[in-house]
This record gives sequence, structure tokens and C-alpha cells, in this order.
Amino acid sequence: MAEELLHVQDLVKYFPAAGDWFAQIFDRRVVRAVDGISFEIDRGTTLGLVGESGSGKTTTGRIIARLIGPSRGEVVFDGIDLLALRGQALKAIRKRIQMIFQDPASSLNPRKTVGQIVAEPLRVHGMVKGKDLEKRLVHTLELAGLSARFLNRYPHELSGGQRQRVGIARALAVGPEFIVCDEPVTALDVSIQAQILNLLMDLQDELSLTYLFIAHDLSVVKHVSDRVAVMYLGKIVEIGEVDEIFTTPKHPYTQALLAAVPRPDPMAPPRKVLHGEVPSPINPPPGCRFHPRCERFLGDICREREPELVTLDGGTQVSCHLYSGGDWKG
Amino acid sequence: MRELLRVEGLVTRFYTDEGVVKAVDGSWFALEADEALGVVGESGSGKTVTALSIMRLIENPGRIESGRILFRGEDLLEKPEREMRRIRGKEISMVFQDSLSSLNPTLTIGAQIARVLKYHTRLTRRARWQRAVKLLEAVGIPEPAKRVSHYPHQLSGGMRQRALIAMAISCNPKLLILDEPTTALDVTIEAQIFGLIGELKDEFRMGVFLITHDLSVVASFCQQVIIMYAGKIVEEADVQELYGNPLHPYTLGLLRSIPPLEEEAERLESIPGEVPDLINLPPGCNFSPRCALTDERCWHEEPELAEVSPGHRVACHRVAVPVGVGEIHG
Repeated sequence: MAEELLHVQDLVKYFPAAGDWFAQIFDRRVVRAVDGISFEIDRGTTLGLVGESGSGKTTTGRIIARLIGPSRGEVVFDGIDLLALRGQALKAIRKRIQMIFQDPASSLNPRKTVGQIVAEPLRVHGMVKGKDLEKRLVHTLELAGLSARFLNRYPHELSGGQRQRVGIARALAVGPEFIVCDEPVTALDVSIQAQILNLLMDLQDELSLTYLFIAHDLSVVKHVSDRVAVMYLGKIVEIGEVDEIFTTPKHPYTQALLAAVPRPDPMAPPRKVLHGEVPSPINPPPGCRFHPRCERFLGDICREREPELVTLDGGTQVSCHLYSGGDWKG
Repeated sequence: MRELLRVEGLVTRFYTDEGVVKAVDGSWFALEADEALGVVGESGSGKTVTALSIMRLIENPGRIESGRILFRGEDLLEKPEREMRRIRGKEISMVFQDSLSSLNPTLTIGAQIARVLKYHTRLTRRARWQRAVKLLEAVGIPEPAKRVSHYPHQLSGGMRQRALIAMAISCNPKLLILDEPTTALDVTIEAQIFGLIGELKDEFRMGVFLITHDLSVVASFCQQVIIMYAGKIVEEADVQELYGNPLHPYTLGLLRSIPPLEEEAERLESIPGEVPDLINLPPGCNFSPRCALTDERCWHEEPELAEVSPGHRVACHRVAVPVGVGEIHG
């Protein structure tokens, strides 16, 4: 039976819309980056988190990695209330939760060697010292598909793919159980993307890792995920098994997103265009946030009432009045 | 159909302190009016340098060494710089990947479009401004009369890219060069922008030279495809032929490394290794160190681009060329 490793409940993150504290006195508006989302991830599985810029997917990942704090909500990791942790207890949990970033060029310190970069988390956590350190480093690099000769190289001497492998090695060094992967292949060339995706999936099997995989590329997310959550303007609009989501998407936004993806096949039907742009998260539309762009707009209900997540046959949860049933339908 | 552009034997090199970079090493291709040509390749394949060579925008230490670039029958490499300045922006225009750095942050969008019009047309000040508003409307920017006096930072990424396209088409160019125009954008915005460019192409019979790393975008938008690798064209065909019957091992590798959206894939086939250093290219075929099909000849002898069936050209020793079909040049 699957064991729940991460549980997120009603997570909310608002950022002040204005820049510094002085401007904030006059401008009390907030950016509703994440606005009440809930999901779970079972041990050894991957949850793909998709959505366009401004949907709140990166903010969600950063809260889980405890890089920023939420405004409200609960994150429970292996039975531990993650957001209540302080001091040593927080430090201890950081060994179990690691993160891989989008841009390997800017997430690696250019003045440190690969060896120093990968040793840093080991040093911080006081895990390995002396002779064992080098052994551990070589082993970690090998896990990420790099040989020992990279130990004394600097990031600028490496290609994009090699740098991302260093980022992966750094995340693996402390032996985590859970990794937040934030657009880990977006900055890479196509042929290198496939190498890194294969590596991440092999590592998951070997080390029984659990991933939160954040990406905007739907075909990448489909390939790596067991379950998928689709975000729009700070809300999860649909969450379910990967095959359900990709073969029978329920939410009009998920449908529009899939129809807009080009296929590597000139005979494929033409891409469908979703009109308009994602509205500002400072002042999101009332009711269903997608209603101004929705092709299946039902009228007042969509404008006025925010849809709840409902569970459909097949297990997919969707927040859309088309499925809320009852008195409003028809 | 009428030929708009013909590039013959283009060689562009950069003389750096580390050595000579063979960025484009003998390119031959043609583009018809109202045709979209997709140029696909990874970082360092020479696709952007090809475009900059057509625009005659190669700067020191770069040099166009040889070849001819025939635009509507006239060799652009023979033109004086004064003449090129008249052609750029009017006959041939280019949209770059990064919209933020290709717009002037201190001028409004309208002022920037008006500048192009001032240089290339005899419109009055008022008429230029009116045309700028019309152009913004044509590229689907909402409230164009208001947006025209906005600065680049006030627009979203999708809108900035549209503004750049508006500027590029302001003088009805015969050839539009797009360098990864949507790489930084979300998939729904990408679909909108290609929908727009497609309409403009058909309406004004404009040739489009589209540089991208995304084979899916090419399949959905282009009629003709060129695959580049390490400064050379390795394969060229129309889209149906290229996706239906890809022949070069590199093209096959690229197609196989795309995670499929429709069917299942346990593991992606990735191309091993990395793109070679353009200063120290391997002897023989540039792709040989990463190719699974090599034999003795691949390591010593450079393959020529040869026609294997009408309109389908491949540069590979391992692809059988039918008897009687000769090499098209050299």
C-alpha cells in the first residue's frame, strides 16, 4: 500500500505587491501567488506540477523546501509539521528534503570547484569528514553521471548538461528522500534534456526518491510523473493520475493547455489557441479565476461563485462548475 | 512559388584568442516567398550565426569568409553597408529571443516603432504614430491606443514579444527572421504568436526563417526543415518527409529524445555525449563521436550533403544514396 510522505493542506502565500517597506505603507495590495492549495505525494512517486508563469508552482516548491515561509496552511512531511520546525530540527529535516534548480549556471557558485560545491551540504550538516569525504564525493558525482575528474573543475568549464548534473549531485550528497525539482531541464538542449530526465528517473528507482516535479513543458511532466496537478493563478484546477489527466483532461484550462501543445508530427491537428493572457495575481477575477478565458463559460455561476474541488470517477479532482453538479447545472 | 532567398556555400568564422570557431561551415539552402523554413539545432549548431550572416550583422572577431547570399536574386554580400541599412528592417527583419534586451527600455513602444517607420518611410509624425497603434492592434495587443505609450517593462513577456513582431513587420518585410521567438514564453502564448505569424505570412506572402530547437514547433508551423549540427546542415527536407522518413542519425536522435504526449515511453532515447567544441572539431563527420552507426569512413572523411530523394538531402556516409542521384554541389 502506498505510504503518504508529503501532505499539503490549504497552503497560501501572499507577497506584498509593492517593493520595499516604505512603499508598502502606501500600497497594501498583495500578490496572491498561492491561494489555498492541497495535495499529497506518496513515497517513491512523482507529482508533476504544471502551469504557466504566475500560476504559483515555483512558490509552492519553495515553501515545501522551506526556502520561504507560507502565509497560511500546513505542510506535513512524514508525519512532521514542517512549518513548525525551528533550529536543529529544521536543519535535520533539510537533509531529507533537497532542491534542484532551473538554471544550473546561476545556482552554482562560480568561485568554487565542483568538489567544493558538492561537499558544501555535507560540511553544513557535519556528515562526512577527512578521507571519507573524497570517497563520498566521488560516489555522489558518479550517481549523477560525472566522473571523479570533475572534482577540481569550475562551473564555467562545464557544459549546461554537466552543470545540471552537479546541481543534482549537490542535492543527492546528503542522501535526501524528497527532492523538489524546479524546471530542471528547461534550460537544456533537447538531446541533453533526455539524458537528465533518464538520470532523474533512474535515481528515483535506485534510491527510492520522491519528487515534486515543477515544469511548464507538458510532455516532460507526462513522462516523469505518476500524478499531475495543474495550477492556474494560485489554485489547483485539476489533480489526478497522469494517464487520466492526459487522456481525458476534465478542466477546460487543462484541455486548452493540452490543445495548445505542438506535436512533433506535421500531420497532427493544428494547435488550438487559448485567447487572452493569465490575469494579474494581484487582482484575480472573481468566481472561477479562469472564467474570462473559458470556452465553456456557463454564465453567472462562473463569474460569482468559486468552484470547489470535486472528485470524479477515476479519481481525478477538478474545480469547475461543469462538474459541480446539482442545481446549477443545465 | 518564387525563390526569395538562396544561400550558397556560406562560411562564417570567428577568430577568437582560443582559436578559429567554424560557426557556419558551408551552408546551402533556399527559401521560397510565403514559405516557412525551420532551422533546428542545439546550442552552437550555427543557426543564429546563419541568420546574422544573412542580415550582415556579423561583428569582429567574426567574418563571413565565403559564399553568396542571394536575396531576390541579388547578392547581399556585395552590397555596400548603406544599402544594407535600407534593407534591414524594411526588406528583411529579425525578431530576437530576448524581448527585454532587444527593446530600448527608455523609449515607449510607440516611439520605437515610429523610429523604424521614420527611417524607412515618408510617413508624417502623426501617421507614424497611427500606424504604430494599428500594428499593435494587428498583433493582438489589447487596448493598443493605450499600450502604444507604455514602456517595455510595463508589458508582459508575451506582449513584448508581440510588440517586437509589430516592429519587425512595420514595413511589410519580404523575409522575417525569427530567432527562438517563443522560447521564454508559455505554451498558450506561443500558440497565439505562431497563429499570428502564420496569418501575416499568408496575408503578405512573407518568407519566414524560423530558428528553434523545438521540433514540435517546426512540425506545426513550417513547410521546410533544415537540421544543423556543429556548423553544418546535416539534413533537409519538407516537413512531411522529414518527420515521416528521418534519415540522419542526429535527426533520429532528436526526434526520439522528445517525450511523447500521446503514447507511453518507458525510457527516452538520448543522444550520448555533448555538442563538440567548434574550435576542435573531430576529424571526419562532426557527429561521429556521438553516433551509434559509425564505421571507419565516418572517422576520416567528411560526408557531403547529398540528395537521397527529390528534395531530401542528408549528409551521412551510412545513408544509402540511390545510384544516379548525384551530390548537388562540390
